[in-house]
Amino acid sequence: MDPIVSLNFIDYAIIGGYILVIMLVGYALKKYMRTGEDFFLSGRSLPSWITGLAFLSANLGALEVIGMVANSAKYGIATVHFYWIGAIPAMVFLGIFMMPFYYGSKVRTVPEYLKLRYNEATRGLNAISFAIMTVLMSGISLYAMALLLKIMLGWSLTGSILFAAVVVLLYVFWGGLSSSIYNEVIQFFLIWLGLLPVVFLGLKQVGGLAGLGTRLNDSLLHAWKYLGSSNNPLGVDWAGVVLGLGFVLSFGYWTTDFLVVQRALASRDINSSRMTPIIASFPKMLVPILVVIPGLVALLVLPEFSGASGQTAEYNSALILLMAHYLPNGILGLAITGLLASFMSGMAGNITAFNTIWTYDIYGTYIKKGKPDSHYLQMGKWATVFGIFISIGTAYIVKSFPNLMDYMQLIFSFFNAPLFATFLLGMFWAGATGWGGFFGLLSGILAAATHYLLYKTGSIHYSSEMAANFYQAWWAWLTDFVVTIVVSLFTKKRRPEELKGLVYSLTPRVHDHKYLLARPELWGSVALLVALILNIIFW
Amino acid sequence: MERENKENILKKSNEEKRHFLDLKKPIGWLFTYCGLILSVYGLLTGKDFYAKSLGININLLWGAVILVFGIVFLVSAYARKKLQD
Repeated sequence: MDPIVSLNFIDYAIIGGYILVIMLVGYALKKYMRTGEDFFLSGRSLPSWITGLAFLSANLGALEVIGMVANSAKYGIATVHFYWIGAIPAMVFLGIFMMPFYYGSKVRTVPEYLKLRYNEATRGLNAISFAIMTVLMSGISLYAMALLLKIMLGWSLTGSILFAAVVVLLYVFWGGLSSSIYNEVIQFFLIWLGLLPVVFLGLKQVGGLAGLGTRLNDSLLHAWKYLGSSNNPLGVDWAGVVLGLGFVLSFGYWTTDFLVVQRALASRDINSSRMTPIIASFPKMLVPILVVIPGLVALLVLPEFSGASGQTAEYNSALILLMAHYLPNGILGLAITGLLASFMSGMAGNITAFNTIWTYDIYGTYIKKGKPDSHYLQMGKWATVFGIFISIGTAYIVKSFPNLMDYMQLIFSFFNAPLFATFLLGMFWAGATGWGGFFGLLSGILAAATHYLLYKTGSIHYSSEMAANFYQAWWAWLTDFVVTIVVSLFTKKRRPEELKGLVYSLTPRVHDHKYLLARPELWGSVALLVALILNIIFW
Repeated sequence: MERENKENILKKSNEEKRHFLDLKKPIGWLFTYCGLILSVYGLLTGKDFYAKSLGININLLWGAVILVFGIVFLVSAYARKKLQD
């Protein structure tokens, strides 16, 4: 099969320039990596604009962008739910209420918080499942990248996999989390500057937003209007969107996933760490410009989607086909660099989260305790190397058994869904006990698995796959919540002194920043207000 | 005297907490480079090259935007450094 686009020397000059810059950044950071904290947490020294943009970019991977353009072509403007209700409230909540515990308690990882608040077993369950998930995830995205480059540019699978792996390996090995974060910020600008031309040219051709409004079916143009029943393109009603996506999935991901929380922990002080997710929430609200507009334009412009060619639409190719449709060589290279950057920084993010959890929560806890800091720094570097090797191995396994990809993602969702209940109770209810936390989390995971089996065997029925996902998350959360409370009532409580700094009622309030304009509460409220207004405009 | 002391302490704590490397520089250099080669390429390519992009010389236009973006980052990185010295 012929590749979709062909690059020329200008495109390669841009890709090459990007690779050169990130390698130089990684190499320049090498000499600052003196302690474990430098390597794993950037010495807790970064300003909040950097951690904020990295917080957002860690989630703006290429698969995410391509998938959300596809969703927009399928579901229309309702895709904004993944960005507005599905992210903003959780990000603001993390910044205002949860960061004081994460940052203030000086924990280095999310599982470490679980150890302090609950017990060793709870930490182990979370740390081990998270470490396995992240490293496999990194392999999956490595394969997805190689596949995309093969289809789009005709590059060889092995060549792409090895090249990306070596680049990521080198810069993470040299600069640790800082390399990863710096890359995410560069990627943030690259993906916007690379994809905005597609948005502009698309809008120009279809006659602007007004043109989209008159030429598309009304059901694709509203976020909420058709959610009264599940009879809409999304196949989910408003309760599923609010409870499943807006509450459980969104809070579960944004407030407990170490991949994103690690960025806030790298901030230079508690106020910056609280501002990190709140700063990220503003560009997050704008991401629909990059994904929803191209999705809608694809429906009108591409023959594959408008039904003119008689083929069935492969939604995931929408963004790639649009790039091929609008971008001449030159600007095309920039857009490809944007995608490449988001693949590589996505992988680097997974690898840095993996090496941190591995070193602190698994190696430093169960294998070799109490070694000097320099030992763990070395371990972190080597964990980067074998993390990359496992990723490459996973990429090749997924290549031979593509179905595995779906199964892995499925299993990950079992582990993620209930976690927010454990954190919510841990941070806001002093009565939650160690074993309450452990059995709550475990039964939440089992509830998600059971729900999935019942759904697949036809015992429960939903109007769409997405509705099943949303409700599965909700039931897993509720199970965790109830079981944690019930078990806590029958097990031994921790003494209040031990929970100081870990639970809301037992922690002194953080002092407000002396300038009103630097307070997370102010900007968090602004973010919520803007999100509300956007929802009303696109009702 | 006291004021000077205070400034010194402030400067020192900023120094300690200063992030490893000024990220504005690599961002500035990367986008200045990209903007430059895109706009030059735009100047060298003819109108029929831009049939895809609806007749707009997107390389020149967007290259210029990126160039300005890169220069703003460079100026803010180096101007601040000069101010500190």
